[in-house]
Amino acid sequence: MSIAESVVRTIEDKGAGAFVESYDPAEENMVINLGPVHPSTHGVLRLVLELSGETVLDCRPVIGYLHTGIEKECEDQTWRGAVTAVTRMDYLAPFHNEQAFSLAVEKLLDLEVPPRGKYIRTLMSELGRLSSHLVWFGTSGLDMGAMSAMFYGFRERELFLDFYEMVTGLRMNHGYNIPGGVWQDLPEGWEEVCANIVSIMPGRIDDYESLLTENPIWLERTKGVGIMSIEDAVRFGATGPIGRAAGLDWDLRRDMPYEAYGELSFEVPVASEGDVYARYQVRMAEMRESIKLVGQVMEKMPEGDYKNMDPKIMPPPRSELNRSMEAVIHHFKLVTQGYTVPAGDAYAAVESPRGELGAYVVSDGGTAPYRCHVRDPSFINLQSLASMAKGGLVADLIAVIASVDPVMGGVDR
Amino acid sequence: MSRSAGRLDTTDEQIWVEPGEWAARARGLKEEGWSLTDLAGLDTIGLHGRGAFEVVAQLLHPELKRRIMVHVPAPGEPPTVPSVADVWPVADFPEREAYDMFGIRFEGHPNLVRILMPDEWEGYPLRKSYGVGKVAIEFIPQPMLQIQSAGQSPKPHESDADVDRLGQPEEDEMGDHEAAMRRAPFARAAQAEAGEDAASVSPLTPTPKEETRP
Amino acid sequence: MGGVSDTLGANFMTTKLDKLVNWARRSSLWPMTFGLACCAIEMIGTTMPRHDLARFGMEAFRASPRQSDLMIVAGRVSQKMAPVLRQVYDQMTEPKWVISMGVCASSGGMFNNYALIQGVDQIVPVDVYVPGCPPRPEMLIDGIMLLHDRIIKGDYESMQVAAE
Repeated sequence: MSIAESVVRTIEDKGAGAFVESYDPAEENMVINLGPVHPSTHGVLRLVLELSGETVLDCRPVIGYLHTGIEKECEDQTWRGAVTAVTRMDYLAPFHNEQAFSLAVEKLLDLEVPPRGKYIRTLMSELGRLSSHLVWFGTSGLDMGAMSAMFYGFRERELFLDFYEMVTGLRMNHGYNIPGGVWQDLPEGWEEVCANIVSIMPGRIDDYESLLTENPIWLERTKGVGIMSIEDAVRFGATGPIGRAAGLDWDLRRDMPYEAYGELSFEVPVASEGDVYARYQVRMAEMRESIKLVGQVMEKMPEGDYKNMDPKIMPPPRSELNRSMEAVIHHFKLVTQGYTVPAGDAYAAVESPRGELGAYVVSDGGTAPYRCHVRDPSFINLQSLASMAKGGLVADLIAVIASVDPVMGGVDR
Repeated sequence: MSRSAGRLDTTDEQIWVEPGEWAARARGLKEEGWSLTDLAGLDTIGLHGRGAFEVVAQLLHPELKRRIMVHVPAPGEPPTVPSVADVWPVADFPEREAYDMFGIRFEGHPNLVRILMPDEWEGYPLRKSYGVGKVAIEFIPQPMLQIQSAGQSPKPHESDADVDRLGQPEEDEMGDHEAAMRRAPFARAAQAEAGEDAASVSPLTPTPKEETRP
Repeated sequence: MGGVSDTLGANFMTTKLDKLVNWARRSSLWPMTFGLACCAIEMIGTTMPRHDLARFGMEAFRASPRQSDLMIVAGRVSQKMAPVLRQVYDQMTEPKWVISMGVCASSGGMFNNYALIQGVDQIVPVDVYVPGCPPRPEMLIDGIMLLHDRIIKGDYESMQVAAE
């Protein structure tokens, strides 16, 4: 019997009640499911809740509904090809996935990225942060009844997607950062498009703030809701905006700088309340900082190579193939076989929109990753959900999920 | 190759800890200010001299701004290491994931069950002995489709002519040459199965049988 | 001429009841909120201001399968999700349609491995496949238009019979 047949049979056997955990009218507490198909769980997150009336007594995340086997898939690809697999993990932050993986592989190869490559990666990383936070803004607004937030967030996101398409050819899942740099230089006219984004966005963020920041309904739904203390943030390893909203002053871009961040100046917004509203404020301030960073990167963008031109790693440019036999041989070897990476283990982390996104890469000296594990911030941050949700109402739980901003593609990989 | 010198955040100090000492060592490291950022399983069967399984933990010291990588071999069958979920609660999910993917038992873990795969799943997918699970893709000749207009689903050829199981018109409905052309690949496949010399039949030339026809 | 036309003149138009029903069904499809992965973001993008799915009378995504008649499977379907997906499909009211959005839902896409169902058509009948990774909103809209064409032709009855 094939898997598909057994799936159909299971459903037919167990009927519509297959996913109800328990319901006993005589008992006071009820155990119910939230998800995996639920509009407010941001994908396929399933929460098993124990409720007393409307109060959440316990909350247990059940994940794996989007498990794609990407870590196994990477072992079946070349080092260059694995980039296209890891980019599909956290699908709202594709550049960060690729970046973490590429940094780890570069450590093993001991390969330097030219300055322009570093700046392009920084640029895309900050734009990626903005477009990801716009989705968070839209969906968390929608979850709490502010439907206009959704329209505004996705309207501005299209600006970014247009730029990504111009640079990488795709709106999502780019495969743009590769070990050694980026696979293509920025196209002509990128400055105007970027300058357009930098000039438009601050006003738009002001609009968002005027919509929500002092909105009494928004304040009611978010202030004092889902509080996480700084101790809990450390205990559960919360990183990114939710850690910083709890007072954990830690940002990899500033504290352990990578790419071009050491040469740029920016603030790291930190709050201390640790509630949903503090996370909202931190993310809003982060968006403003990202816009500043994009402006700085545009000013400082150096000329030169955008990727390491080592012929053992990078295929030669097309023009070389007509003239040089060596170039043809290198091209053939790289396309058919890929390059080898010295044996060893490496871990590299970047600050993704949701926190520390790390890649642990092992090579056995071959042309394919021996193991590629990604430490996804959504996966780790989800552990702290129970501590934030306990004692609150079901409606507060929705606000908490929205503020944690988990991306299930990253959680389940 | 341009080698880098003194890049930022390159210090990957690696230490090996015996499984028996891991829980105590973890407490010591925590007191020194190290926090756990990540924990992953590793099947070391293909890495020479490193045993069968390992648990690899990434530790971060926020004040020193340093990272270390801790390797803990997991010996035995099933491979077993002590859990550090009571030292660093953040290890809860990653340890469950390592159990789910590699079958590594973490002694003392409060709730060691599968996390990503369905509960009834058999095997541990990320072990090297577990295949990728590819489904073979069969390239069979596609049925002859007749699209009448945009928006209509592809349907098998609709006419009075009889069609075979692949949606191809039966041979007596078409010209001799066309039939020969159509049949050639199948004829070749049939010959290959029968052990004949398949190379002698080109898909683009009529089969010898066709040529002898008056 | 006689009957209705004589009495009411040009104020009425007569048609087959089927055609009227199909026209109504086509003009107000109610999609199910069924976002799985990357494609879900593009599916949301389709309903948002730039692409504006409201032009086709279907901007209101329903959270309950009982209220929806179109399931857009947006993203990769894992072995763990498959029973859930099938259950949601069974809960939807007849007549119902399925759009398989993106290569992962259509054929497993680039992930040919142990974790994914290689094509959602193994567990539910699919009416329209939209390729792409992820498909652009324009491609999804095109897929929806194809489905509209099928519905107004009444082409779906045979599909239902086949499914049963």
